[in-house]
Amino acid sequence: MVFNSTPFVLFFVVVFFVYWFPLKRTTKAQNVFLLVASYFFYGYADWKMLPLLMVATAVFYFLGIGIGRSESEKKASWLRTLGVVLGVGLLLYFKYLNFFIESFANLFERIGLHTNWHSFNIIMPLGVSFFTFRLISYVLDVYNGEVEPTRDVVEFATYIAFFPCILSGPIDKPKFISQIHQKREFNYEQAVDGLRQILWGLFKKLVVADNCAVYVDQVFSSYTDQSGSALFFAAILCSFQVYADFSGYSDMAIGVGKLLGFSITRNFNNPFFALNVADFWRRWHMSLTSWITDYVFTPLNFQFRRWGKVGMIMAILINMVVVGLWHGANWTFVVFGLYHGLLFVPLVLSGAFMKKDQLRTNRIGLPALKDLGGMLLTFTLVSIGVIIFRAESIGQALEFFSRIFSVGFFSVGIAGAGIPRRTCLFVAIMLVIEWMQRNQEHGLVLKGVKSVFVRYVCYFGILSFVFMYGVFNETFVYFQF
Amino acid sequence: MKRFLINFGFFFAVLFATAWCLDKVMTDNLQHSNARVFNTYNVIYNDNLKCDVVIMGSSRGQVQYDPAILDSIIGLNCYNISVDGRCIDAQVTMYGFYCHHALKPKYVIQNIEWGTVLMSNGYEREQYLPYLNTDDMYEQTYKSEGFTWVDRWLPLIRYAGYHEVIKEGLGFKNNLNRPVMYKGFIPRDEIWDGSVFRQIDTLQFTYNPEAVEIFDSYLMRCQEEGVRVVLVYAPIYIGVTQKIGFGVQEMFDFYQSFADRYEMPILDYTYDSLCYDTNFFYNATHLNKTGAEIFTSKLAMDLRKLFAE
Amino acid sequence: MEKREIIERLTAIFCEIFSDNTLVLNDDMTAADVENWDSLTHMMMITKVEEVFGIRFKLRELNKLKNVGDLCQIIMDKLS
Repeated sequence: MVFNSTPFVLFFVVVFFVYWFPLKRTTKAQNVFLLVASYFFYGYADWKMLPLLMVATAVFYFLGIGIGRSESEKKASWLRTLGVVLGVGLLLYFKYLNFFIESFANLFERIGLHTNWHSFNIIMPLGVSFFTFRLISYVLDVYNGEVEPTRDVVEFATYIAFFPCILSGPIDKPKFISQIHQKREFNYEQAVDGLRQILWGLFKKLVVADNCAVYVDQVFSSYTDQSGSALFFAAILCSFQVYADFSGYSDMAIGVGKLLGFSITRNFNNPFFALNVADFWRRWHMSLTSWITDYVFTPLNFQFRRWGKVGMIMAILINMVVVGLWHGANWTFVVFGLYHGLLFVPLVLSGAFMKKDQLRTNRIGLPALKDLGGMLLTFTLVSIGVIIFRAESIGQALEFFSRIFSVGFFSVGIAGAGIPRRTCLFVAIMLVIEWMQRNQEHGLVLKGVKSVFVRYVCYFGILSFVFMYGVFNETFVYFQF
Repeated sequence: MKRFLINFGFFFAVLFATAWCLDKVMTDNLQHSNARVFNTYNVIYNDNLKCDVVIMGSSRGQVQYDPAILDSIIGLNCYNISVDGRCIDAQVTMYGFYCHHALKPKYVIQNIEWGTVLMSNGYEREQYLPYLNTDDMYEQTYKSEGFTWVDRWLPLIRYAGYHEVIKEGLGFKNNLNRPVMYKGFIPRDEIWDGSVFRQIDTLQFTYNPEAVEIFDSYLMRCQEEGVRVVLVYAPIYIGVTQKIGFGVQEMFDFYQSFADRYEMPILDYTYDSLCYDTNFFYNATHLNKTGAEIFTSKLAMDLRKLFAE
Repeated sequence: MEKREIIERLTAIFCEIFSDNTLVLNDDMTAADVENWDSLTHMMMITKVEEVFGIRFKLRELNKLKNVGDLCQIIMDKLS
């Protein structure tokens, strides 16, 4: 049940009215209802894994209480470790076990040892990467004293399974539980803004991402027959595809949250206007970056603090490999992470790592030339990474790179995917709007627009783009993670 | 909350009204469109056809059976209602539509081939959109084409994403294909292109149980209604038959069992002299205009004999 | 060691690490108040504090720091 589907619309209309009318007065009843709705939503996609989600939730709920009650530091620390091991174990088992078995079997094979290892038939639960991260961060935050352990199992379970976020994020920190605990008031501005954000998300997903996907899939599936320019274009459009797809989905999730009175954490802040790779990661999948920063990078950085910049680089490299691997069990993701980690090295050495530059504009409101150079360089580096990300194997990625330059760049490839002009136009529209709205939370914030007529023109303009050029086949790139 | 509901209700009302009006305009325009995807359905719907013979098939039906030649040789009124790129399920949908809106034919010429008794893959499913707001068309297609009640009952949504169709419906310039068509027949005046033949390794006769059921009940319906069905294997470039065989014998046996059950004649041109000359084909599986004319003449002569019996 | 002395030494560390000789520390000061105080310089500052005062922090203790006042307090606790 993705957000842009009929079942979800029906589901959400029912949720919205039940939540705001009969249950309006009691937050507790609202929360129970949200939990039931979330489990229904999850079960609708994958009912067989629902018990797993429930058991994991219960275990971590009690771990939280256990850590809170521990009188000795030792016991608390032990329970925390147990939680982390369980959470990571869950993820390792479902997501990475087969990958490790195969990789080690291959390795032993290469050094002449024959193994009899078989991979298992494991079905990955939907959203496992997202909810295990929420579970792990909960025990860590309780242990670190960032949040009080909650006694209300409904609130905790709703935080873990909250239906707008369970399948594809954003990954809210445990502080989100306080929003579930508090009474929500319906806020007109927030709700309308939520609807606008959903509309903007729909545009990015259906018009930009899915049209890019048509071209990218075509070129990637026949990349040996394509011209250099088609490969180059596919790499660029693939970056936009992944961005529009995932940020579009996040916008919809956040918008749905707003309609229920929640503020879900922001997930993207115009990553294509980043001036360097560090800046990029502060703007890209921010809820993941911030999670990994808090629970992986900071501890590592602390451990390595005596080694100065070298320690920091080590911490970043490990951190980025974790980010890469989070996306899936494949060596391409390891290389993807390592590649990004290495891109941080010059930034750490030069001290540009942490500088938060304000974007500068020239007289006509476009990015200043120097910034534009940084953006283009960052974008190119990121697009190279996306090829690794998208390829099925490292070998394929390498061949893809070499072909961009070796096959005649302007020759027409055998498969002859030309330049998809219309798709480029969609990407351009998205970029222009996001540039104009770069200081807003999303592309369709209409705070300054007083005229109802102009707003309606915006809504209907976007709707007609979605209506005419949307691709209606209900897949999200990030569901597989 | 009250303000939200009122404003959202207003927005929704404007949206719905706009969609409803656009739907009316577009559906009406599309039902009169002469673009290839809509043409046959529109002619059947608008023109009160009274034909003695209808020709059923896929693209191989559409480009190979010339009604003009059949008309002149058999002396009966023929119409080609083949559906490009589609298997028996979509062909039967077309036949049902035909019987509903036009006079029932006396004869059906059913083109059969290796891939007839399969389920279609949704190719050009937009052909149903202008008629999807009727129960008949919806009932017939929702399963195989993946339509839902939203497409059936809400205005406009079914057209979403089909930008060329939308432009056509609104009267804008567009890229829909509009070849010369005569009674559903599309002559292809092209010369041999060998690339299809080089890539055709996977061609294989297969069938799907669901499609077999559709095929069977369609034949039964024809028998009950007194419509005579003639099965035809149209010519195919001999290289294909020789190169990979594609289960020819199995295919013959399969259709023969239906022919026996429903007492239908089969006309076989699989090894016709046409098949040996690439001048008559534009690719490995399709006759060009010249080939189609010769083939239709031969077929017409054979049919004349057959109908005279 | 008295709080005044700790603040004095901290001020020296802060001025050096955050490259700003005009910094005046007070209890409510946070990272948001100092231009160059980010995660990299934060870690450099912590390392320097450990070195100067001859103490060692735990990550958990650092996570609880909210402002300069907390930092002074934890240093005093460690030294006593």
